[in-house]
Amino acid sequence: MSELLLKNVCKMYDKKQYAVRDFSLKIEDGEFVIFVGPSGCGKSTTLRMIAGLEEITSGELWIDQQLSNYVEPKDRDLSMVFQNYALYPQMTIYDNMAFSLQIRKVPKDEIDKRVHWAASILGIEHLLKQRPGALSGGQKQRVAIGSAIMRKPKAFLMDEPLSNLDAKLRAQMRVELSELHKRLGTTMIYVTHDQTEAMTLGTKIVVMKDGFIKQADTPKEIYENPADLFVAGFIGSPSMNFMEGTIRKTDKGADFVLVSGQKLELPADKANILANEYADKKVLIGIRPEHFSTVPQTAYPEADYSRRRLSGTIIAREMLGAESMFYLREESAGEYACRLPVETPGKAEGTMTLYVDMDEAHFFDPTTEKNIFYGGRQ
Amino acid sequence: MKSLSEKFKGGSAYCYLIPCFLIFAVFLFYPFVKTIYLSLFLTDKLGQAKVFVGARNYIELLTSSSFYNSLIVTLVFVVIVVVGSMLLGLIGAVLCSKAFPGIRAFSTSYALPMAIASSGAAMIFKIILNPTIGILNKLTGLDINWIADPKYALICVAVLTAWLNSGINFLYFSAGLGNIDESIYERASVDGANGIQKFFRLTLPGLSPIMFYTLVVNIIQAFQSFGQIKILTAGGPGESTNVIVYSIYRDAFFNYRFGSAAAQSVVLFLIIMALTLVMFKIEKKGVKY
Repeated sequence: MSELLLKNVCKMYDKKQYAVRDFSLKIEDGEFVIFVGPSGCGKSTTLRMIAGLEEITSGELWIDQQLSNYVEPKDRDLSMVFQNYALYPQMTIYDNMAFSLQIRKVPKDEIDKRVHWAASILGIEHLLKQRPGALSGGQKQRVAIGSAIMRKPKAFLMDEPLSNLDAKLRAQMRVELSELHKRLGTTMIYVTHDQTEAMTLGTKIVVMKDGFIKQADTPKEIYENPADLFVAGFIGSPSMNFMEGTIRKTDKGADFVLVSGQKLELPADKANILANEYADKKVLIGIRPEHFSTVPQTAYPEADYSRRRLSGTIIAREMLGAESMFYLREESAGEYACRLPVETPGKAEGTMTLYVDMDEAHFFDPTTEKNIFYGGRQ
Repeated sequence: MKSLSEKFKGGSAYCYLIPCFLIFAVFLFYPFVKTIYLSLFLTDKLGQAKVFVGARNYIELLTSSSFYNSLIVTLVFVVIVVVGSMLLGLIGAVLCSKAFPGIRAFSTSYALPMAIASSGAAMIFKIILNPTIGILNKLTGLDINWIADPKYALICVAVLTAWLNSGINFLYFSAGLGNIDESIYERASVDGANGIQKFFRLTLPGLSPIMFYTLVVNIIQAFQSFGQIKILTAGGPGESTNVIVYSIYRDAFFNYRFGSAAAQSVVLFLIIMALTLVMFKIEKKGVKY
């Protein structure tokens, strides 16, 4: 069992600038936790603090019920994969992988067995006699992971391990990492700026910005129920469309009215709250590209679909194979992206009207940027 | 067939090399050839070749016990100097590879010997090692006549030379350490390596290419040490610090036996060349990646 607990961890540089602030998180045994966020959000710093490569300015780090702030990196029993792989250039691949066991004076035949076991999992057995200089990026990547899985550490720490690979190899390694996690069952903490990696790999995603945790939850929750504007915009590709408008009470419930006057009827459950708290006030609506369609949604037959439509001029259209991305512009809503079936007609410069799945829409307070309905509020 | 312009290109390349060759010819090739020429002659006091004696200078050399003594003294001297100066340089560089307040003052002082004239350093050491007023005897409470005692004289000049040569080694090793990727140390600490393991498994192998170069330069430099020996011990007491270079100097400018001195120079040249060639052969096998 290994369990990591971070309590109000802060990292400050030069006594004035916070890199990480009040980072509190509990990581259970066997979880695959992803730290995701834009560059400079403190995700790598947090990982390095867990590894012991950076000092913790304030707060507590508990590894297996043991306060570990001041434990030396070598005594934390973690293993780490670095962004640039950090292979030992003068050692063979075999020695690179065996290093952590050799310095622990593990018997030679045991080391030999483990090296071959790890090499066979990752398909690098034929490289064992070579040196890192002779390897390609993908091979180095595997060696780095292989070296990390030689031991049974309390947790694997991975700092953007796939960022130096090309797109195809990255997708392949993503699958392999996921399988590896299932096979080994060890806790993994993984840093990335790529939201696709975060969504596909993690069992828990920690979205960070400017040193703060914005939201920490399962990929599904993060995607379907983002805590605020930043998380909503960061997770998902292409990202969520945001439009500004005003809430207007109607006799049926409430409407979301764009600046241009175009109205979108709100679903009954949300209309109540919005009509009470935000009547005649500005809110931001967030709609994911896949929640547009050319035909009305049939799930709620009683809704008046004529009042859940949005039209716009097509600026561009991208063929993605199974589907098409349409980029539309509406005078007050601005540009927005829609994911539609590939056979949808429509050319650039033309106009089109789409139905919006308002049940899937998110509403944000423009001043606090929080999701008005975050936390299951109905 | 080469076209005319290509031929001209080849010719023009030599034109550019002429200034360099001129300087080499005056200061390197001519003295080199002249030395070999002189080593085959008996000379007068002005160093003019007078009587051709063929290999007699060499035969005399190889049968003289004084020359063998010089060889052994030189060898011991070189070993102490090379080991000492490389260790000093390496330790200094490793100590200064971490950032800490005042690092500039420390690195400057480690690199300083490079800028000190060997004769100046020898003068200072002469005072330090003085048996009655020297600070070394005062501090250690010993009563040793360092320079006049055949047991210690060679060690004293060797240590002084090691210190003098350590400055440039410090620079070489600092540069070499700067080339080692910082992240492999981070990985090693997470992998569980302690400082000593990191030093022997990562730092030393990472320095191996520059280590080799430094070794070659140091050996050559040590063989050629002169100023500090002349001032500190003048080859004495007896013959105990009479290294080959000093012996050459003494033969040529005290005894006016330029022929014999030239022959020793040629032998010294052959020794250094042979050593360098051997080391380059080993290097091809030994230095990895």
